[in-house]
Amino acid sequence: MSFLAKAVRRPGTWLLILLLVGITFLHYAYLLKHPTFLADLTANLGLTRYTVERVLYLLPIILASLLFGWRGGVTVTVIAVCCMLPRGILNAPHRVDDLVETSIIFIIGILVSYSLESLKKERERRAQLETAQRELQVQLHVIEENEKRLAALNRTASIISQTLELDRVFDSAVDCVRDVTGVDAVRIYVIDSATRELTLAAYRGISEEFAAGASRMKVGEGLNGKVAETGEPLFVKDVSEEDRPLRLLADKEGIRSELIVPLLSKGKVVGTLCVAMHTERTFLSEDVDLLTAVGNQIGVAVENARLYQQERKVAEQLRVSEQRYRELFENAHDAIWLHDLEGNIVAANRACVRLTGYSLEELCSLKATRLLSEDSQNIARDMQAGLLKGDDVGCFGEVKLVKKDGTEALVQIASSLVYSADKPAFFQHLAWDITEARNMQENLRFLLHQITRVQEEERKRIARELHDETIQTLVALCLRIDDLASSAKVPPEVRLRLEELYQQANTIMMEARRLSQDLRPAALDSLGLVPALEGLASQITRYSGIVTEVNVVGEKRRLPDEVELVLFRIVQEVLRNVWKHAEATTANITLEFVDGSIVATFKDNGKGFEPPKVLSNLPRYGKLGLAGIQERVQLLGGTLAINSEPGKGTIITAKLPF
Amino acid sequence: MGEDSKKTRILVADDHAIVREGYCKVLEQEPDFEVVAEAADGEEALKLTAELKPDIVLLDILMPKLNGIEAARRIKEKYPNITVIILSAYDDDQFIYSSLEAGAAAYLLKSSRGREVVASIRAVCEGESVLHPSITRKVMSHFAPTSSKPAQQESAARLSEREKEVLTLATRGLSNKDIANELSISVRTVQAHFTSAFNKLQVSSRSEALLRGLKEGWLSLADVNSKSKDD
Repeated sequence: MSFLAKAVRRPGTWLLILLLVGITFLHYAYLLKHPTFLADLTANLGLTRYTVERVLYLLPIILASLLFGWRGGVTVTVIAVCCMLPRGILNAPHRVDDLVETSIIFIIGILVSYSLESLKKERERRAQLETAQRELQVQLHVIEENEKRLAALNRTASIISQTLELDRVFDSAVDCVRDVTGVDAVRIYVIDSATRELTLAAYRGISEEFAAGASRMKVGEGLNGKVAETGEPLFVKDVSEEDRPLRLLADKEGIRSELIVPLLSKGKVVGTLCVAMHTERTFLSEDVDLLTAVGNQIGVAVENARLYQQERKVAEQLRVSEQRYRELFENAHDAIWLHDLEGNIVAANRACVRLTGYSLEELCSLKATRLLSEDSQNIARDMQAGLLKGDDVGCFGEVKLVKKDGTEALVQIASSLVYSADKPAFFQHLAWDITEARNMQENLRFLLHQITRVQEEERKRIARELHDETIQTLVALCLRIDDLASSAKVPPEVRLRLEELYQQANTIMMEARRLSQDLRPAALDSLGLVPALEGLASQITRYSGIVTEVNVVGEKRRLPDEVELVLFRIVQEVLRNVWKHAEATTANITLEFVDGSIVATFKDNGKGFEPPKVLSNLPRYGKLGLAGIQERVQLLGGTLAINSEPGKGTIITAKLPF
Repeated sequence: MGEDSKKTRILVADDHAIVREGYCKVLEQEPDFEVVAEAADGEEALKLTAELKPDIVLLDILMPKLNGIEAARRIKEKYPNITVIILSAYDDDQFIYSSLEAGAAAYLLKSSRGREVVASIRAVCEGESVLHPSITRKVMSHFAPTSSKPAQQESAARLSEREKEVLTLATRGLSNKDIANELSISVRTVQAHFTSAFNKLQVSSRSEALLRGLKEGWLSLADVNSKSKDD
């Protein structure tokens, strides 16, 4: 039996057996008739010797109880009773006493065993309780620590969520880390993405000197640089053993252990968090976890702050440009107003108020069409439809603006679409009063008309002068020289001289005639437009090789001098262009006589050109000749149309009333 | 023209006295010419023509009141037998066409010499052409009907075959002599045919007769062009 084997090995077992044997020996010693010192002793104490011997049996019982628990106690009690009973039954003068005492010992033995067992159990329970209490306390501490960490994290998180100021985020982060981990020094580095450098952003517990020395480092350089490069936390038990640029400074500062974690945002390292101790210290994994968590939060905060700063920069730019637009809008010299697609005016500037006479409030409750005269509304509608179709980014037009007092102003208007969320939302109109300019233009036109007229008059006068005076005198001179030369009385050598003289005079006359014709073709005045044009056409055909024809539709008749002259000059200019630039082989002039007007159409099969959309822009395109034609046609209240395309020839139509 | 008059009676119309005088002097030197009047403008020329009925009217084109071409038209309307000759400083085709259309028998340039003018007047009187053959062709082309319209044979019916033949040859710009050679007849006979034809057509010159023929369709451009290769 294992229990027996175990018991045998214990020295207490042997002591127990010895005690039992010894006490039993004492119990039966009276049989030897030699009273022992014990008997004497008990007797001297006034006790009966039987009692003492029996009481002694309680010793092994107690010992057994202590050694083997209540089972051992009961067993030994039974053994003791067995040892005592023979004397009480067989050999006792006081048998009853003996049996009573034996019973009492038995009862006491049982009780002792029991009580000792209870005591032991009570002790064990208490020990367990104490252990549990201790464990509880440890757990409590851990919980408290975690709570502290959580609180720290919370605090950092709440600060980070409350503020987008990076400095405050760093400050609260270093405070939090220092409070929670109880380290001596904390530093935060942020990576400058432009220079790939770590910059000291916040610190606690280090000297200004150290802070200055450790304010910058390259990524990959030193411990922080390494963490910034790898993105893995790094613990160094004794930094004085590390070979790094900061070693001397760190030694002086008394830094021993350092724990560095990266600041991460979306998996990207944006900086490092470094805690340091002046003594060698091992950090708990909870500390590393805390630092990593704080590091992540700071990382997010750095990213957020960057985004915020970017956003703020954009917002600021937006605000500035908005303000600039507002200033431009408000202070613009030209009237500007905006209306939505339904035509409700939503904004107008001061110039618009000035131009229309309405107050801003009145304008903003008006329909945009109220500002335009009826015929101008159609123009505006066409312009807006074109804009909505996306034909043009902006378009111009001339409209009549109706003021509050009912008067009208002629304005040049530039319209464009304003988009909101990629959809057309408003029409913006910019208008400037051209009434004055138009008057001036009218005056200019009148002046031009006069100048043109005077010029033509002058040409005519000179041509006539040439014809009436110079040419006729030369004709007479030629006749006389010829007459003289033909006379029979003149000697041959003089005749030769006269002949030369005649030739010279004749040449001068021809020159004068050419000059006169250039200034004003005599055929135009005496024969009319059609023969003059036919003459011109045949000249062009002869000199340029361009087959030029004049066709007449309707009943040919003489037109007012001015109309004939303008048409002649137009044809002259057009044919000159055709000859010089068009590379044409044929040119066709059709004169169509209709009631009250004449339509002249010029067609060539030349290389054509790209005419401007607006004919008044001709001078800007370098088409000065055509611009002159346009001007002259307008002066007579006519219209000019140019239809050309590169490679497709040119058709010019002039319609003049008479 | 008139058989009883020995001298050709001429009226000179030009608004420039100096030029007028010059021509008068040139013409007066000719024994068979007689300047019967001078006019300074178109209207005066018309009036004097009506009064004096000269054989020939020399007209400048650019004249005040009424220009020479218009004056020529009116003279020819009233007096188809009077020969009108235009004298101009300009050689524009349009002036030439307009003058001939108005009924002028010749178109002379003021740069021409006195003797050329005299020769031309004489030639016209003889039914000769005074235009250079190339100009004649150009003029004829200008007046030839562009579309083939039915010929107005009325006036042509009055002409004899020979007269038509002579006119057809004249469209080529041939002189009386050339026509005589061509037809193997005398120059005088050619002249007689022309005079007879002119009378029948109520015209006074070859160019008028040719223009009538072209306009009325009994002369055609083919006749004019048939000889052009030879020039």
